[in-house]
Amino acid sequence: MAEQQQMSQEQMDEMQEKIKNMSPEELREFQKQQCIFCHIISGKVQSKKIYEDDKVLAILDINPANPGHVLVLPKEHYAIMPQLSSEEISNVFMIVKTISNACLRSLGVQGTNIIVQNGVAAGQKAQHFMVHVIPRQEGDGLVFDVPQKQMKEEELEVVRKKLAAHLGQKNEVPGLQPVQKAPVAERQAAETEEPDIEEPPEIEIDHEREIPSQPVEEADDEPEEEEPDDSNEQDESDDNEEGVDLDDISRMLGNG
Amino acid sequence: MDEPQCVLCEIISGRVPAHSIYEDDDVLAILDLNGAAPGHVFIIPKQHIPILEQVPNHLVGKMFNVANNISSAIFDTLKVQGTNIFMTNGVSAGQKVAHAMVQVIPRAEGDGIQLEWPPKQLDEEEMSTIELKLKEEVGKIGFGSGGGSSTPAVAAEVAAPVSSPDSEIEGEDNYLLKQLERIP
Repeated sequence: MAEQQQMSQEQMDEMQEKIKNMSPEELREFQKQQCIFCHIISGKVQSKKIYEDDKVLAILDINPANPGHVLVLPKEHYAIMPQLSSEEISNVFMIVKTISNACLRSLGVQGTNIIVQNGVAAGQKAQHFMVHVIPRQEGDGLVFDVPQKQMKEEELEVVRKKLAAHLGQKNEVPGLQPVQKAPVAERQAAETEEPDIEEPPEIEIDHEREIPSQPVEEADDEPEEEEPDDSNEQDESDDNEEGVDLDDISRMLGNG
Repeated sequence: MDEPQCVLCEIISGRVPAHSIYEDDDVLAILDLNGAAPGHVFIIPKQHIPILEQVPNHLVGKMFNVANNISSAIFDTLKVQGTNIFMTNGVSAGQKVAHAMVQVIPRAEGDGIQLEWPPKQLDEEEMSTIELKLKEEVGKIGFGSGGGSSTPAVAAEVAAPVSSPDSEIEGEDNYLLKQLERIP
């Protein structure tokens, strides 16, 4: 990253162009090269390792929220959580549980927070999916505030219908199965959805307006997933709403 | 399975109505009535399990897989800019109910939700000490079937709802439990 810090506009454009023309595989490879956590996983960058196996690495955060703050990372480079298979998710969180347990037993703390940040608005800072395990004690000065709001009954019902429909539940009991063997197409779709994460704030969460009283059936009409995008353009359209990848990569390139 | 006084168990049993968005044999996902944003969901095991350390591994995997699916559904249907998957484990971490839960919180810029932290800087020695302690402890705990197996004392206590004498209790998990039991 460093050597590319001082790029001229021309070089930037050139790089942008190059990135645009990459195949998804190339793009992924490029991301890996730019990813500090991939360097940590490969051993190029040093870290304090708490746990390691073929698939997962757990390290101490060098800028912890509290002493003992651990990052649990899949070794594979995934930018966002939906790219992980369900087995990978299970595996990562089993390790998260063990690490949380280890914090409680060995650090003399009284609790832990487990946090995943999906998207910049949620605090995601790296292009590599990770889970934070943060040890907690009374009076440790950390303030996590999830304010409570009074939800309106109608609003809850609209949201419930949308989500339930999307999750494949038609008001009764579904299985988790569809997800466990997520077809390739779906996963690809998940990948192409990445840009959503950094979508500029076109929609403000406004409790009065966010969910207009739409007809209930609406939820059912929602397209299941976007079509798998086999082109390499993702959503990095020129309308300055670049997708996650390009946006971040260019930022890295630009700012080091 | 059904713990009296646990409001979430009341919901699971159907005695208290809730806005359920997903349910299977093991877990239930419902909309938070007092959520931080529309689409704020919590996912709970149907079995009454107070803290994460007691949740068997397969169920941990399931809860977070369901959380991931719900997060994707929130992205797709509610046009949010992000989601947090959040778990509070222990009173000092903000756990309010003695029933393990995973929350999915929809996010947007300037939404007033605060889940970030100021980075601390520890000295090398402190970091190394923590590294050693944690590494050793992880090695001891291992990755068995999870749940009760690694925390026998806790499991026993939970199995017997009558509070057992404190003398039999040791370990941090029990501290967590005791604190939680004090929650009204």
